[in-house]
Amino acid sequence: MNIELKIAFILASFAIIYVVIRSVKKHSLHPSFAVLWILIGLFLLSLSFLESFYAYVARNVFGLYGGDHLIYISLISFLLVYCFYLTTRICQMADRISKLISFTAVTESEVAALKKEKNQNGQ
Amino acid sequence: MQNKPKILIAVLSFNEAVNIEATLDDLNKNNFGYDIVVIDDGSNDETAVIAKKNGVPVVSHCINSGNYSNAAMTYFLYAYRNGYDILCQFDGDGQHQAIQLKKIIDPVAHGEVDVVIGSRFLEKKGFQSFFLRRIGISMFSKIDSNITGTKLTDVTSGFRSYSRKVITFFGHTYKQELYDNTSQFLLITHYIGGKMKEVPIEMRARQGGTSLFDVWKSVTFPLKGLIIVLGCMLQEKKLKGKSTLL
Repeated sequence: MNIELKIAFILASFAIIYVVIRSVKKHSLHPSFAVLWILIGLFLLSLSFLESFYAYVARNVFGLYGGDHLIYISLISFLLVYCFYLTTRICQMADRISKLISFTAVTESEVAALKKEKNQNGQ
Repeated sequence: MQNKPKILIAVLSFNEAVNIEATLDDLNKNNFGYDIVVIDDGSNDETAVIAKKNGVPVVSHCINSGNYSNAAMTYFLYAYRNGYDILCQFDGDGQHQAIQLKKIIDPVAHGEVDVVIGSRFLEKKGFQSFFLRRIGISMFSKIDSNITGTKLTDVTSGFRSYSRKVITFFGHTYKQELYDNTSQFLLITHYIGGKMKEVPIEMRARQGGTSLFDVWKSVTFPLKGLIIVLGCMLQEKKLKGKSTLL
């Protein structure tokens, strides 16, 4: 890995960590997701310093040609799994929203009916 | 069942300002003692205002949910909370005729079955829908018939009635999401021990406005439907265990 790429990884990882901390401060990112993104930032940081370690693991553990292959495969696998996880989360949220829509609609109609009854009794 | 069951007609509507008044007129003219409620799925037009002007209670979704199954969950919840014995789904687009309501309601009122579906294909009278849609309806009707053991021909028909047991199950007991109120609804009802039947009805073509069924939905409907059927079949044991009807 050349020096420019190493610097790019270091800057990217610090940028990610900075954005994550700012988002947590603004309450726009849940802590559980913040942890995940900080880990991604640290992973990018590790690419600059642990290049030889990844190359060793790739060759001796997975039998891959180089460390970069291991990194690509790991990142693509992670993104696929994460995408699937997010899809399930979106589905759960959509289901909850549907239930809330029904619940609020019926409750609102009941409140309106009670108000009407109260007004009629008051007159 | 008591002598005079409490009946609710739930009119489903989304952007039906051009049809809703005629639909409610039809229901009011043929009213034999039922209550009416309009379930408005977050319309952008004057649907809810027109319905209220006609003296009909309106249950409005704060946003458009984009599917009829959400509206179905709303009317089940409404019917359950207000203690109705029979619930009838009626489309707000003018396709259904109030004069045929007795046909839909009577089998439930007499305790014969828990769900009655009005089928336009039993006597093949009136509006029969479009060719491609008929193929899809026929395919799912056959699948559902095989699973439920009841001859079904028009599983997507929105002209239906439900018993108190079904109202209680979907308005109170069932906590999961209903993805469609056709196959999934019918299969769940079957698995929890509900009986169903079809009666012949005549439908009209949509009286105005535009249908929710666009080209994309026509393409994805069969695939989505098959996944839903498969999901229901996998849940058979769980549903039978949770049954309140059995």
